[in-house]
Amino acid sequence: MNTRLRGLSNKLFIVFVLICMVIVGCSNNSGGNAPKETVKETGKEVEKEKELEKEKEIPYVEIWGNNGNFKNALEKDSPYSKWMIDNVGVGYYSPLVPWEGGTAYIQRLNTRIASNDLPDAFVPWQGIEGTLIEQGALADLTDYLPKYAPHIWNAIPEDIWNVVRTSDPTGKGRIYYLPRVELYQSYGAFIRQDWLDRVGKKVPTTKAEFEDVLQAFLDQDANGNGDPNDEIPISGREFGRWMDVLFGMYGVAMWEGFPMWDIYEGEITYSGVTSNMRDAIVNLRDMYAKKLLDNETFLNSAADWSAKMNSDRMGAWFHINKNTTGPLDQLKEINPEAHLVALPVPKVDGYEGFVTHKRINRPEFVIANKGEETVINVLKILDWIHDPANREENIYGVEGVDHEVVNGEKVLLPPDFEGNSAKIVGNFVFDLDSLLVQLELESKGVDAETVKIIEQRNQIVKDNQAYSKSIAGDGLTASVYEGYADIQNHTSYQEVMTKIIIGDYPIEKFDSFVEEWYKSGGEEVTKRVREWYAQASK
Amino acid sequence: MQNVTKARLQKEGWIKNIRKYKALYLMVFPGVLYFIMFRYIPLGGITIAFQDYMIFKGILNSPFVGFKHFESLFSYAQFWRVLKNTAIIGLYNIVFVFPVPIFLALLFNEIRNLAYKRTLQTIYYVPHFFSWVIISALTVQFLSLSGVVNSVRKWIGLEALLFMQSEAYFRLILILTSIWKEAGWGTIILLAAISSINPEIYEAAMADGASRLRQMFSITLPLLMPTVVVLLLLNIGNVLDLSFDQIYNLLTPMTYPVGDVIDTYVYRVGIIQGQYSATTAIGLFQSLIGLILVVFFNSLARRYQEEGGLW
Repeated sequence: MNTRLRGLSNKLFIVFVLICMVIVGCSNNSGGNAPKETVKETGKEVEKEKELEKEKEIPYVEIWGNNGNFKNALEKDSPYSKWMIDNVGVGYYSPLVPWEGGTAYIQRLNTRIASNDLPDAFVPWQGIEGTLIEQGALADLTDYLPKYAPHIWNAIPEDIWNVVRTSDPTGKGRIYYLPRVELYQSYGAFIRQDWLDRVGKKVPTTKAEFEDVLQAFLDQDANGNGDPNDEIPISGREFGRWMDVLFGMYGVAMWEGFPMWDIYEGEITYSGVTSNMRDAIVNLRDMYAKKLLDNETFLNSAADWSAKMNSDRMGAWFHINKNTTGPLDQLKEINPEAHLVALPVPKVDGYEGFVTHKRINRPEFVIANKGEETVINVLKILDWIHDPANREENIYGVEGVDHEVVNGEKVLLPPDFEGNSAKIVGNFVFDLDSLLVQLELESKGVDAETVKIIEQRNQIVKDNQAYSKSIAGDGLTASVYEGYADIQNHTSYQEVMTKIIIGDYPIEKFDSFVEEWYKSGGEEVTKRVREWYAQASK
Repeated sequence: MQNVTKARLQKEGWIKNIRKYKALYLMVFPGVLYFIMFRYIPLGGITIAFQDYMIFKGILNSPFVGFKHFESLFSYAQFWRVLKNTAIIGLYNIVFVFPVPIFLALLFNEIRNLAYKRTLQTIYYVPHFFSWVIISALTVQFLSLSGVVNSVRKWIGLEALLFMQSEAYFRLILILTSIWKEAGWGTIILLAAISSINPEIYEAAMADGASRLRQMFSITLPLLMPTVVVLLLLNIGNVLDLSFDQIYNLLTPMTYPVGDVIDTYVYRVGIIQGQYSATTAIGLFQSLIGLILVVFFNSLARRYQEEGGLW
């Protein structure tokens, strides 16, 4: 018994050592080529048997972007991929990467970057393209665009391409990214017309009228549910985001809650350190104390903020005007009278108020430097989408997924977040005319309720245009922030702004913040931005 | 015993030793392999702290820059604030959070009804399995204007208070949520240590007329101390290694002055700006402090406790 056991343990020991040696051997070599090659080859053989030559003919590209609320990955054989194969002969796929305001996305993207395995094309986020261009990881698109993406090339004005060229760190003016271009004002403030009617006020146009209206919202039962205490006059989100109009009325260049660079006292300057910002903060502190500004503003996550809006508790807010159909859809369930209109930027004496317009919203796509074929395949897909001849097909998408045919007419289907995947690629060059055409088409064949909502939205989009101003820092390259993470992230601005508004700090703290900001890198970054501006405005 | 083995080892050579104790070597082999592969080989990655590391050029081709990243860390305007917050929160974790599981384990140990004890333990373990995202979302809800705490405040006639944006409460919230999430789970090792105490000792004490309380303080607690000291030393080693998930999810710009710590700073610089070298330098700095503290407290433990300390 004992000897048998010993013999067994002897054998086990040898087997175990052998297994371990194999494991160690393989893990040491996994970076090398030999084992990988064999795995690839056997894999290919299997595929060959299955797919024969089809696989060889159709190239696929991996594209990463915003998945929105969709719960499925886009597979190689998804309807959208097949749709593109039919149209341009290139398929595409995309794993399910949660977006969560971009933070979840950038973490997953960074993991892929860290493992030296970039997706073929992707939405760069928070200036990540800067370091990637510098290290030669992204493809130079300059020579390919006119030939393989003529529609994108021509749709974007030349002065915008010139700004895109300034992001080339070598200074040679090559193009490394495709910008998301909005030639119309896509942001704006909105106010509830039915609330105004209930409290007997008109849409406010000056600061005094605006505050009077907000006070009435706070004091009265503006939503008409019987409870005069559940109204929030106006609200924003954590980090002071999504309340740009409250800064914009004082002439602060603010974009989605991040201070931008614009001309102040004759020179391009960070709007977060200007006297305009100081005055806006003083006003906000006052609004906060009077509870006209939601006292939970700086704790509101995106979900909290939407919940307040969608549950008929918020009187006015700032967001993307095209998307106002979202809250209106929700509101009609609770309050069938819900009626939303554009809110003008309230006039403050001595200031030119505006809503910041960035024509270059952000870099929309970059293509990994994996060779000519990848670049051409990605551009084929993106250019097809931007061909005006395909506009209608783009809007209606795939039959059975995005639309159905009723009595010979195409009718759009509501998005099926559980069953479908996001399209990932879409139009990224917008002008007002083509947008209105698109919005018009979307309302065809839908029920009367939805038509009412769409009409409200379309009016808001048109009315928001009047308050728009382009800023000097449009398309600023992220590389100006290199080495100054806190300035890029607006860290100390957010701290001092929020703390003054909630009443923790006196306003004098703002002046010492400005001084600190310049001393801890602001001077250097300002110098770089001014050099950039001189080049971009040439 | 030790001397005998040593002498024999010298006499017969290590090959014979391996042959003799191969079952033991067999058992220890996976552990050794694990440490070599996942703990020692990656240590080579420390080199990138002294480089301007570029992913697409790799460790071998990235330029060497010496102590540049350490210098920029120490010259960072908010460095002292970040370090101070990290040290204070780390200290609070050891002073206020660490003892709770000991207390809890002693209480669990006194419960005589087994079914009741098991149920209670399970209830206390549950929060451990929730992620910080969930725990902090619950905390924020709990403390919001329409949350439980403020409803009670309003009911007794007090002004509502937004605890989450108040500097004064931030660290308290960190401590309480840490206890809430991890205290129950932390009792597992301690309960195992308690159950290994020889019951004869208790029987002898009972024969001498020791009360339950007396037994707890004179038997359970002293015999638990070696385990507690080992756990404490392990904790001290990670004193600057705070729970990033917890702080990141609870932190707002309004609480930066008391809650911005090394890990949240690393997140801003490293993950968002993709500066791997800078963050490696910070990590190395954290580990160095941890190592110094462990060596120091270990020598203290050895001085004041028989066979105390980790080594």
